[in-house]
Amino acid sequence: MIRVYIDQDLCTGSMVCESITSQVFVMDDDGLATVLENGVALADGGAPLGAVVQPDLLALVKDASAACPGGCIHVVEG
Amino acid sequence: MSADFVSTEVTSSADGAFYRVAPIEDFALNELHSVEIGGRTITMVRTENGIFSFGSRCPHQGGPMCSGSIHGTMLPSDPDEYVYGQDGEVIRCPWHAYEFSIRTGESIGGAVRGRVPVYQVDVRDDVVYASLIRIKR
Repeated sequence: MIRVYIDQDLCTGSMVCESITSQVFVMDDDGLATVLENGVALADGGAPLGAVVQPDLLALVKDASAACPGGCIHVVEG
Repeated sequence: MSADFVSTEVTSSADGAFYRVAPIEDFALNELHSVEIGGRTITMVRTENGIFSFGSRCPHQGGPMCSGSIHGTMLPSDPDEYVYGQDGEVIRCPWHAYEFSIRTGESIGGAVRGRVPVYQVDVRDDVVYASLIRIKR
C-alpha cells in the first residue's frame, strides 16, 4: 500500500501539488499543503502515517512529489 | 551540497526542540549557511538585524537558498523615483533572482506564490540555536 504525506516544516505553500491533483492535495488554513483521505484533509500534512494513495492517482502523486519546490511530499510504502 | 553545520544536540523549550548550531562568531555577517537539524536542511544568516533561519528551497522552483545572497530591495515609490530599502532583510534566490523577506518568508512584491518557511531562532550565551518551529505569518 502506498501512502503520501506532507512535511509541513518545509512546505512553501506554492500549491504546485494541488494544481497537479486536487484529489490528493489541498491547502490548509495556514496556507500549507496537506493530504486528503476519503475526502477529508488530514492534520499536520498527514504526517507521519500519510493518506492511502489510490492506484489510479499514484502517477500524479509522484509527479507532484517531483515538482514540489519545497521537496516536502513523501511517498512511502507500507 | 554538504551542510556548513550539522547539529543533533537538542535542547527543549516550551515551544519545541531547539538544536545547538554554533557560536555566533562563526556566522560571518550576511553569509548564508546551510544547517542540518532534525534530518532537514535549513538556511541561516546573521545580519546587522539579528540571526535569521529559513527554508533551503525557493518556493518558485526549489532553488538552493543557501547559495543565494542577502540584499535590500526596491520599495514602492512614485514614478521616476527609485527607493532602495530593507537592506539586509531580503534573500535573492540564485536561480531566477526572486526575492523573499527573511523575516516573514513572503515573496517581495508578491511575485511568487507561496513563501519561504521561516523558523524560530534562539541565541543564548553567544551560541546560536535553531528550530523547525515555523513563525506564523
